[in-house]
Amino acid sequence: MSQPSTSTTELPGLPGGTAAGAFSVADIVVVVLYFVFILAVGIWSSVRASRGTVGGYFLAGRSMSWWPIGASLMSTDVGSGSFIGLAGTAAAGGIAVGGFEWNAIWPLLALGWIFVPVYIAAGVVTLPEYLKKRFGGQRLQIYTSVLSLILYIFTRISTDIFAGALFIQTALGWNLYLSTVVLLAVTAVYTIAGGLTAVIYTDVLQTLIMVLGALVLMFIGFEKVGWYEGLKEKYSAAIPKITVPNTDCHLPRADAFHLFRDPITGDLPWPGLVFGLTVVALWCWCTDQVMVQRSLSAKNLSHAKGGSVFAGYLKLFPVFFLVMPGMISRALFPDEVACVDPEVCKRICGAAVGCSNIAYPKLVIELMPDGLRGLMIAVMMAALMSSLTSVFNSSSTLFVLDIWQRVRKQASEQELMIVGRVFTLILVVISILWIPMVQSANSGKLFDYIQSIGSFLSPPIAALFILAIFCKRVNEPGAFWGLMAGFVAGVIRMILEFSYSAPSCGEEDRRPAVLKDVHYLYFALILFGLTSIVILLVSFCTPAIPEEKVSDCRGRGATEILGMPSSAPAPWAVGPLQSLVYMWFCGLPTNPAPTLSPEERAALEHRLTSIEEKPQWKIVCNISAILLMATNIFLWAYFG
Amino acid sequence: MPACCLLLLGLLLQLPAAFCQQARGSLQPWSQGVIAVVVFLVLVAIAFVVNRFWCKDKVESAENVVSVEDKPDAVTSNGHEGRYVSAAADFRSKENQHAYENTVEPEERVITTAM
Repeated sequence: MSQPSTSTTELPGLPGGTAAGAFSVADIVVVVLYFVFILAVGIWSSVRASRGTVGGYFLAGRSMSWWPIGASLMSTDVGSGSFIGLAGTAAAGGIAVGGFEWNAIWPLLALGWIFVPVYIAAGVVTLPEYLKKRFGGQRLQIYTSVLSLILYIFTRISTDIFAGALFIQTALGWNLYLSTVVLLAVTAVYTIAGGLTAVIYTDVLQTLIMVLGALVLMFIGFEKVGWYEGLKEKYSAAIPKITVPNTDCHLPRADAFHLFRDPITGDLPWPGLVFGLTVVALWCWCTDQVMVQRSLSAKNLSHAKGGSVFAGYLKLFPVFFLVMPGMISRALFPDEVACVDPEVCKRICGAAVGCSNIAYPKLVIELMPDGLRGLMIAVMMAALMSSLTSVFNSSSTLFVLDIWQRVRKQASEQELMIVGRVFTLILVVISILWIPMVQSANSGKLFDYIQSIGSFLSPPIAALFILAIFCKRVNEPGAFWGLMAGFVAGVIRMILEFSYSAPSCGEEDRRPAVLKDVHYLYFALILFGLTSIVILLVSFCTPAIPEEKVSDCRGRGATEILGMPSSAPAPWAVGPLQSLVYMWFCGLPTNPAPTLSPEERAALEHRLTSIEEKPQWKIVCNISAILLMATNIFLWAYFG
Repeated sequence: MPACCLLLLGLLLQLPAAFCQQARGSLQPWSQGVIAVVVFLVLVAIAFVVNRFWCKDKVESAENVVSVEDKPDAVTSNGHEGRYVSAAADFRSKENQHAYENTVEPEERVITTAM
C-alpha cells in the first residue's frame, strides 16, 4: 500500500447501468487458463519448497534470486486497489497521483542498501523481532506486531477486496460471494501449502500477466484517444454535460498534467509529494513486514539489492498503464467517469460523491475486444491475488513468531507451522467477511476512512526504525513513548477526519482549519517530526542501553530460526494414513532430522547473517541503482 | 442558450491553457529532464570522489594500527551498513601466517665432496 489516501476513493455499493454483457467463450477460456496456470505454478513451487521449517515456510529457505524478489515486491504493492484507486484519482485529478508510484523507487533503494543489511546482520525474520533485539523488552514487539496485524486486516486486505469487488460488480456483474470465495480458495491452496516460496513464484507469473495485460489496454486506449497529445486535448475538454450550477468541480484541473503542484492550493502539493509521501513510503517499503520479508528471503545481500532495483524498474510502469488510462477513461467517457451531479452519479455507479472509481473498469468494458476482456479479468485477479497472498503469508509470520511464540514459549517447530497455516485460513475467512461490508458501504465513506487509517498511524513507526538504525543513543523507553505520542496524535487526526466529512460539489467547507488546511501528506511529515523529537527527548533523559548489548544483535537465534528442521513429533497424530497425507501437504518432516555439530552451527549462523558481497556484484548493483535513479529523475523532471 | 454559450466560452478558455502547459517557463520537458539527470550524475560523481578520497584516508590511518590476530568484526545492527574495514585482515594471508614475510632459510650444512 504505497498510496495512502488517494483522495476521493469512494466505493459504489451497487452497479448502475454499466454491468457488462455476456462474455464470449474466448474470455472464459482465458480466465480458466489463468487459474490453471496459477495453480500449477503454486503447487509446483509448494512441492519444491522446504516448507516444514520456519525458515523454509516464512523465508522461502533463504534461496530466492533477485528477479522473483523484484517481481514479488512490485506485484504485492500494485494490487487491485491500485488499479481502481490510481486510475480513479488520475481521472479526477490528473497525473500527480503517479508520484505515489515513482516516489517508491527511493525507499526501495533505501531498503536494499540501508535497511536489509541491518536486518540480515541481526538475523531476524520479523521486524518486531528486530525491535526486540535492538531495544530489549517486550512492549515494542507486541505493540508493533498487533498494530501491523490490525493495519493489514483493515487497510491492505480490505482495500484489495473492495477494489476487486468493485471491478467484479462493475465490469463483470458476477455474484460477488461466489467469485470471491472461488478466488480465495485458489489462493489459499498454494499459500497455505507452500508458504513464501509459492507466494513469490506465483507472484512472478502474476506480475507478467499484470504488466502485459495492462500495457495492452494502455496501447489500445492511447490509440483511441490520439496518444499523449490527443490525451492532453481531450482530457482538458472532458466536462460532463450535467453540471452543478455555480461551481467549477466539473472542470478538469488546470495542472492536471504536472506532477509538481502548488504547495498551498494543490490537491497533491509538491512538498507533500516529495517529503511527506517519502515518510509513508519508508514505512511501507522498509519497516513493514510484507515488503521486507521478500527481501529477507534472498540468497545473499547482492540478490536482495538486485531485487530492489528490479522492483524499482517495474514501478516505473504503473504511471503509464494505470494513471494515464485513468485519464484516457475520463477523456473518452466524461459523462460517466467525471459526473458531478449527485443524482446522476448515484444512477451511474451508486455513489453520490463521484464515479471516478469506475474509470478503469469502464475502459475495460468499452475498449477491449473479445478474448482480451478475459485477459483483463485475469489481470485484475492477478493483481488482487498477488497482494492478498503476500499479506496472508506475512500476517501469518507476524502472528506465529511474535504473538504465538510469546504466548507458548516452548512451542515446537511443527506446532508453529500448523498455527501458521491455521491463521492463514482464518485470514481467508476474514477477507470473505469484508464482502457484506462492501455491499453496505453505499456512501463509500468507509473506504476513505480505511485509507486514512494507514497514513495516520504509520509515520511514527518509520521514525522509530530510522532512529533505531542511525542513532545508538535511542533506548527502549524513548522508543515506546515516542510511538505512543505518535499514535495519540494520529488517532486524534483520524477522529477529526471521521467526524467531519469532505464537502461534495457546491457544498461549503465547514471543516476545522487543521483538517482543511493541513494536507494529510504534510500531517505525515509533522507526525514524523513529532515522533522523532519525543523519541530523542525521552532517550536522552533515560539511561542508555549498554554498548555491548546494542552491538551484539547478531543472530543468537538465527540457526534455530532459519536453518534447522526439528525432530519433535506432531503433538496429536490422527492416524497413520491421514497424518502422512497431512504431513505431506504441509511439508512437515516425517523423519527426525540430523542435528548439527557446534562448528557446523557456527558456520551456518555466519552464513545466514553474513552481509558480504562479491565485489563485481556490488559494482553491478550500484551501477543499476544509479541508472534507476537517473531514469526516475528524468521522468519526474519531464512530467513535472 | 446563455448556459450553452457560457459552456462554450469555458471550453475555449480551457484549451489554450492546455497547450500552454507543455512548457513551464521557457524549457521544453525533454530539456528539463536531461538537465535534471545531468545534475544528478554530477552529484553522484562528486559523492564518489569524496567517498574514495575520504575512505582512502581512513584506510591509510588504519594501517598504522595493526592488530596481531585476524579478528572478525562484530557486525553491529544499528548505524553500520555492514561495510566494515578489516584493514589488518587484508594484509594477512589466510593460509600461511608468514606468507608475506621474507623468511630466512636456515643455512644448510655445506657438504663438500671430493669432486
